[in-house]
Amino acid sequence: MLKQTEGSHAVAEAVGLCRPEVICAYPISPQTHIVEGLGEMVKAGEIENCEFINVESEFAAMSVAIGSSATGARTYTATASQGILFMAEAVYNASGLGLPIVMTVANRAIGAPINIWNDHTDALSQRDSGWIQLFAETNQEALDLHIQAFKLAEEVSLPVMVCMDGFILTHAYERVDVPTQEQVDAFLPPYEPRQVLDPADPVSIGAMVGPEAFSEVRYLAHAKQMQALELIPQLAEQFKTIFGRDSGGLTHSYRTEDAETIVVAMGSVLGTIKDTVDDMRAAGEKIGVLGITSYRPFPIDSVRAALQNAQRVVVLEKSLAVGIGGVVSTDVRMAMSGLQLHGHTVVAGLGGRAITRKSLHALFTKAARGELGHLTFLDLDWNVVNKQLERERTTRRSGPAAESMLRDIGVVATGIV
Amino acid sequence: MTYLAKPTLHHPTLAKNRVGYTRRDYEGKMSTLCAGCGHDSISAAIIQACWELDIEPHRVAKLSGIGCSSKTPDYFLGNSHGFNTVHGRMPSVLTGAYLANRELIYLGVSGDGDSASIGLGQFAHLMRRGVNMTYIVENNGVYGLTKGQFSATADKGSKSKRGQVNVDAPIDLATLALVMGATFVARGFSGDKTQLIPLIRAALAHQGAAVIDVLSPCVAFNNHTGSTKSYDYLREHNEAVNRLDFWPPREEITVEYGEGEVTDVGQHDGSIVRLRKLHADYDPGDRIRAMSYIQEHAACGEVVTGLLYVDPEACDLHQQINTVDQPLNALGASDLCPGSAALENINASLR
Repeated sequence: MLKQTEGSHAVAEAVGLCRPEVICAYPISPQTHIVEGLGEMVKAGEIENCEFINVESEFAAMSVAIGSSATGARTYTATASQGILFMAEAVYNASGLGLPIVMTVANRAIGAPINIWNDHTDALSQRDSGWIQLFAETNQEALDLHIQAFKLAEEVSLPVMVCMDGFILTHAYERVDVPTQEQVDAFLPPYEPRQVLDPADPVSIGAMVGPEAFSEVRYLAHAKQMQALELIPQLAEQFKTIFGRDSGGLTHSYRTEDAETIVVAMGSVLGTIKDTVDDMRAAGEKIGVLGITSYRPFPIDSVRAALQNAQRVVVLEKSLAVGIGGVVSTDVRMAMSGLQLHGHTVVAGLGGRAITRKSLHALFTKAARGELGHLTFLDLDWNVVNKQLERERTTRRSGPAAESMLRDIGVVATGIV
Repeated sequence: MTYLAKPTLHHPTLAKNRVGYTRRDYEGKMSTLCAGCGHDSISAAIIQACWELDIEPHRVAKLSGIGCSSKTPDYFLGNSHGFNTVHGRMPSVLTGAYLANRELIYLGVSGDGDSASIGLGQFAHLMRRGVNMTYIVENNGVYGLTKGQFSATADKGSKSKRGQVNVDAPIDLATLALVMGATFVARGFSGDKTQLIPLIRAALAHQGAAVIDVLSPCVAFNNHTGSTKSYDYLREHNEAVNRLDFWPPREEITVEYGEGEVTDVGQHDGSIVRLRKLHADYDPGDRIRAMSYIQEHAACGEVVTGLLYVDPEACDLHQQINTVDQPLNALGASDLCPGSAALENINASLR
């Protein structure tokens, strides 16, 4: 059914339709509306046989999720930013134990300095945790990916993170097609856990594993992600037959046929990039887009196949690997190894800075002319940076950097013309 | 963050305290909290208390965690040291700062989400270590910043704005502080500044872990009928066990008292806390009785406020671990490295 609704609420409805049995969460912006919506649905009896647990921290949220999933319940939680860092130990635990928990990450920057706005540094900090990570481009895709996530998680027995851009998607009201319960039931069978809490057949979980088998257990986690690489496109196909929409999959190409320049990105910024590419195509520029939906497992072959006929690749990412540059671009470059391509990393949109068509147009034009460097920080205010660097050069006690830079910028309203 | 800047001009007739500052010098930025928020009254009480105590602003370090309460240090003591830590970790960061520099006056500001949920462990361990600080909990029973979910201090049976009933047992931070060994425990109400300001003054002077659990209604999400943290409920059920007056060491006690029992409690630094008993049977020197008193009244829906417990002989973390008087961050290389001769002596004593 078509609905004009908030991204968070669309996700809450999708999760509700997946018949979760335990939902536990701790509020943190911009994720809160999702679990708030689910809390209301559980209270109103709209989700049958489901417990909603209001826990005391994110660490508890993931720990409760581990407990409930291990006993055989379909389990869901959601978090963002500092929340995912606080639960990090349990995040690794969930994947190490192979528990098919589904978690939404409403992507938000990590502090310090504290910032509630969107970028991808929170989810990407957990890229090696063993969780499958899927990135949604639109609210519709966010809704769809959650339905696919439960099936994927339970098929390969691994936890899945569905990442959606905080505020840009979670708080945006858009038209989404909310499926019926019958459709979801036809796609997602009841959960058949690999182990259940059964007094007649007791099991132990959480054994100490020494050097004799640790590598093998870890390899198994990798092997399961490789299975997921096969399974994700199949699930997208099945999803299409039931729901009638293309959603999910590993990657999505847009106007890459004869493209000399291909821009690679994840999440909602793909929309702005596609609009910019349309403008440039209209002006005769051979440029296309590759969106990555499955970040973990990383679809090396699919990315390589999409890029191999281009001349240059611009990876535009809302994340920063301090000390080297890009996070996503490191993986993309691995996929490009051996191909004679020019690679560029562009760090953009950190802490919610708007990524505008105007900036992207200038950036891609520069790239097409071969004038773009290896690493670019989009729309960086060099005055502010240089002033701080100068302060640190001249004064040993230069004070806290973020606060000094804010003082240099002055009252935000004075800069708005 | 607010776009409105406060004018820095001061009226020439503003009264100055002994160290030459006006009350305005203790203010901070413009508050961005909701109009009527209890937290703003607490900020005003802190400003008043620090001005009255003649504390130079640069001697105060104010630390907080995350939440509406933890935003407030931006709105008071704008000339003091500030540190906005991560969620629930204020007590740990403060403990580290206090270990390194014992000369600052430490003020921790937190909320019920920050201290009773995510940071409960940190809260408890700060109390048992006896860190010399004033810990103000701005307690409204809800997570205001994420729009009004019940916090861990919400009373069982209390109703949310949308009519949901809280089913979980509440955490009473004053009782917990008593159990964990805090040496100054008080409870205030943001709507009663005459009670709150002397409590803050006394807590700041106390040499040990001082907690004030300040009930501070959330006007946006927890100020309705059915809530046990609303202005109306708290006014109706506030059971103040005593009224407090506080004099720093150098001040002469000038106030005349009428009838009623008055007890003076001297503190380490020579300051005097004078208590006027409102409940004849209440003794703030009895930790065990304080706990049962709070719980007995809570069982009848009453909120006990005032100075609940004080140990005038309190000893703090630095005394317990026997550190030097000089702040550790000011120790020079010669203090920290006594030289090879000293090492030789130590080695010789072990041969």
